[in-house]
Amino acid sequence: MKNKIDINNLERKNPFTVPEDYFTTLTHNIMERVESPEQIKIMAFFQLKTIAPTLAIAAILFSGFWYNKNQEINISNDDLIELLAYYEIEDNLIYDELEYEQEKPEEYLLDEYNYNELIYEL
Amino acid sequence: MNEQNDKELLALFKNPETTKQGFNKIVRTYNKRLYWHVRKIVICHDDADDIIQNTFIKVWKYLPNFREDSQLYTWLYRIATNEALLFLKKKKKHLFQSIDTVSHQLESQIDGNYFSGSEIEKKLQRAILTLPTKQRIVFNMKYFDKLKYNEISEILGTSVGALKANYHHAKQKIEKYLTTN
Repeated sequence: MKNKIDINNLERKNPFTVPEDYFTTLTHNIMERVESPEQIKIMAFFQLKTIAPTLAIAAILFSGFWYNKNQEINISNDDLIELLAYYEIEDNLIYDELEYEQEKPEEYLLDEYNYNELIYEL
Repeated sequence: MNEQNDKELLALFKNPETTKQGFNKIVRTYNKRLYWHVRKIVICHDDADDIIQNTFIKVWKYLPNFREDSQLYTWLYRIATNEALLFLKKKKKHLFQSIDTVSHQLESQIDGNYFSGSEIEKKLQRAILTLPTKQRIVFNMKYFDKLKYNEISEILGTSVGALKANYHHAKQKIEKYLTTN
């Protein structure tokens, strides 16, 4: 039978080690995090892996919104007429939308509706 | 731990003109002690590094509200201990593992990087890892950090009597492990 070991007789030495200059780097890292609190919040709260699908969907939706927003600003009468032609909208369908028969339905549409509303209706 | 020194550190931190300087001094005074305390709980250096950084970020956040009911170093130890325990809890939950499996994982880290102990020191660490987490923390604080029971009591919120019993049981289990393995 082995002799009983008394741990009080063992040398109480720390067996763990750290990389060279670790504690200097640690202080530096902590101070850096303290000086940029926004970064702490974002990094601690979100894990990129977790939010990647959400970010991708948000980017797609935002790009669609941004595209439409820009189109709304830059659209001209000619653009709209070209668009209507592209969709081969029959004149009769447009006239159905009008309260009164107009000589120039394109202009009436532009006056009455904005681009997004029109696209939605089409 | 020097109570007077802690008072000076706090005064420096509480002065709006020297807050960052005071915090830097607190970090430099306590980073080693707290790191080794956390390292003995989670074993792995990278995990200990994350925990100790989060600990000091919390200290930065909550120190302005520190009421000095307890001493600064016991308050710091408490935050570090809670952060380490929270880490182990998350690890267990994340991996759907029992605390025993987590202990086996921690044990495997002893053979990993940043361990320079002799065979007997390795064996001692393995023996310590067979203890329940809280008993392990009490043992480390008493045996390695040489804290007094009343200090450990203040940090862990456990009575001195319970701590003495905890340490006694831990010591017996470890000596049995070392003798039979």
